[in-house]
Amino acid sequence: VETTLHAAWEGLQLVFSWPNILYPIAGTLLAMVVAFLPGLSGATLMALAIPFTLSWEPVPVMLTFGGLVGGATFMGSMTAILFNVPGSGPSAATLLDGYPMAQQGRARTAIGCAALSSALGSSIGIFILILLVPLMREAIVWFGPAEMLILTLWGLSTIASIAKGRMVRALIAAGVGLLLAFVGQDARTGEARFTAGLPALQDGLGFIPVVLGLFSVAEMLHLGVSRRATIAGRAGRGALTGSVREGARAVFQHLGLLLRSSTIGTVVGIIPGVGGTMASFMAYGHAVNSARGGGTFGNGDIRGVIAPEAAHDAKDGGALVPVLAFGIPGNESTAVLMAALLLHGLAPGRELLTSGLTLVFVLIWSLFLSNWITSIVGVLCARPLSYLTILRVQVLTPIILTLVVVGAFIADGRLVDVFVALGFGALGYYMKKHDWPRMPLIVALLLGRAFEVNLHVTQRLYELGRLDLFQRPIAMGLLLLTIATILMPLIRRQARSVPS
Amino acid sequence: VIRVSERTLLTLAFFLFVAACGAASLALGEVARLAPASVALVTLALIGVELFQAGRGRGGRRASSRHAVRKEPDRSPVAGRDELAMFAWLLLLPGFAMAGGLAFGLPVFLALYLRFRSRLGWTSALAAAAVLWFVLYGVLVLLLRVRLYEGLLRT
Repeated sequence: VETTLHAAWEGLQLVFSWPNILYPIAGTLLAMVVAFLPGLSGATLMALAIPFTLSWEPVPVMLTFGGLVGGATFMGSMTAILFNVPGSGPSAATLLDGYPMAQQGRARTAIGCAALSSALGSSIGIFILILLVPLMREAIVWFGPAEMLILTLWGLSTIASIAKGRMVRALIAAGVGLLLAFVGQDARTGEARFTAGLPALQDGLGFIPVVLGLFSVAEMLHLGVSRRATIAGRAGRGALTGSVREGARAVFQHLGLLLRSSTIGTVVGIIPGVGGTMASFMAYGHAVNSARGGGTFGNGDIRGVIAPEAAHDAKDGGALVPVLAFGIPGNESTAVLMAALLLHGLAPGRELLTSGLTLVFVLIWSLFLSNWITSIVGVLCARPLSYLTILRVQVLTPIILTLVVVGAFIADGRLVDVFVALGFGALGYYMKKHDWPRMPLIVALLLGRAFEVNLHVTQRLYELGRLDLFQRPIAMGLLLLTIATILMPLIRRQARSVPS
Repeated sequence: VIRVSERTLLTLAFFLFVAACGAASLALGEVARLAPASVALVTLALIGVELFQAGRGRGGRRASSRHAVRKEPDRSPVAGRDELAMFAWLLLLPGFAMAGGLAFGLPVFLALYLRFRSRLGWTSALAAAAVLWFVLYGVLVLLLRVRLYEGLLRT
């Protein structure tokens, strides 16, 4: 513990020394500007930055990369709130309530709330990470295929929370999402499934193009047809109500939710291959289930912004655990980060966690600083950004549509993704028009593949006698949480119907 | 003549997609087909329930009572014309992207949309297109060295 604290202090000094402090600030601001384009995630930015940093010393590299991850993460949520355009997968959960708030003229409140939630969420995540540093190697082996299977089940169970009285349609949408998740090569046999002979679909459907289509393109089509003057409803500053202070106050009113969502984010982030998108949706599902009085989720409930934002940013801290301890990247960003570490001669594992512990803390503090910088800049920019929601829809629509096309292409560099985004845009438009929930399709698409693979591995382990679920307390705990998530909406509905 | 509502057509589109996936999965090996075939079967049953509810009018009534104000689609002729126009512009978008590439085709699309659909003047439309071109070509391609699709005309 003493060594860890000493390394943490040294790392902190290195981050806040001159001129080192400039690296995370520059990285964060660059990421914030560039990530306004959908599809340009922190991973893409880091991949682009690697060639420029090859001749650098490890400390500036860590500082810059920490800044790039933090900056890109937050801006994805800004575009989700303002235009229904999730900059990255995890931001998709934020738009569920963030965008309706912007439509009500409360964009500033949503931005303020998102900024503070993400800053506090990331701080909690990093605090948990620091506590876990001495236990990293032990912590990671607690999660096997059975735990991951139940975790994906937990993620899928959030569909019940999102359905809101449209359960049959939500389940159909989830079924369609699962089938779409199976497009591409089967992970076990290599057999091509539902690819229609197109080589571009061998790797499956890209998640970002589908999300951009179902939400962003669909929303632009809807706005273009609905003759709504602006996103906020009316032109002029009078359409904007709410304030950053109101958003910040809401976060402090729901500190318990913030804490629980941050913990969900950190734990999910630790598990390799699960990713931040699942963390956001699970936190959102938890917010819906734990809300007293049902809430107005989906129609601009501020708790629907707090939970995914806190989980999303807390996940970044947790995601560093498997990379630093074992060299197992948990998501795209950490995969690129690991590549950068290796290029600079820093091999993840015991060596990095002993002799290179100070460098680990440089990265952690840089991420921490970056998340606070983005939140402060976000709060400062909340007022000018909110004016974007009173731009004329007829002007905004083509700009967003062109940016979506660029975002869909950049995500994987495939032209087919542009057509995927536009095709799903048409589908999303009709789903919205006829009151079909779109989020279950997204959740199922996201988790379908992981669910299938983990189900197969767990089944094989069970057949071989290598798995006893009752000997795995984490799996049992997650199973109970999953059952509670599924039953909670039913129990609440029953409880509400009794007095009436 | 049987009149089918747009809402039912959407459900039928889902039915066709799921049925096609279910049929295609039967041609796969035992391991690869297990999950898709099971999901397709359950989803088809759920679509049956949805169509049954829609036929009895229950689903529609329930949905309209809960989401009364926001969810009822506008069926006026003006909305129909707007919808057609929006989809026409949406179809043009990949055409411009494929022909001129993302860095050049998209600014042209933006200028034309702003001029003819949004009814802005040529000056504003071209200025907006120039800003987009600067972001795509200047910032992404030249500065950040992002590879954008170059288009059929340039290749």
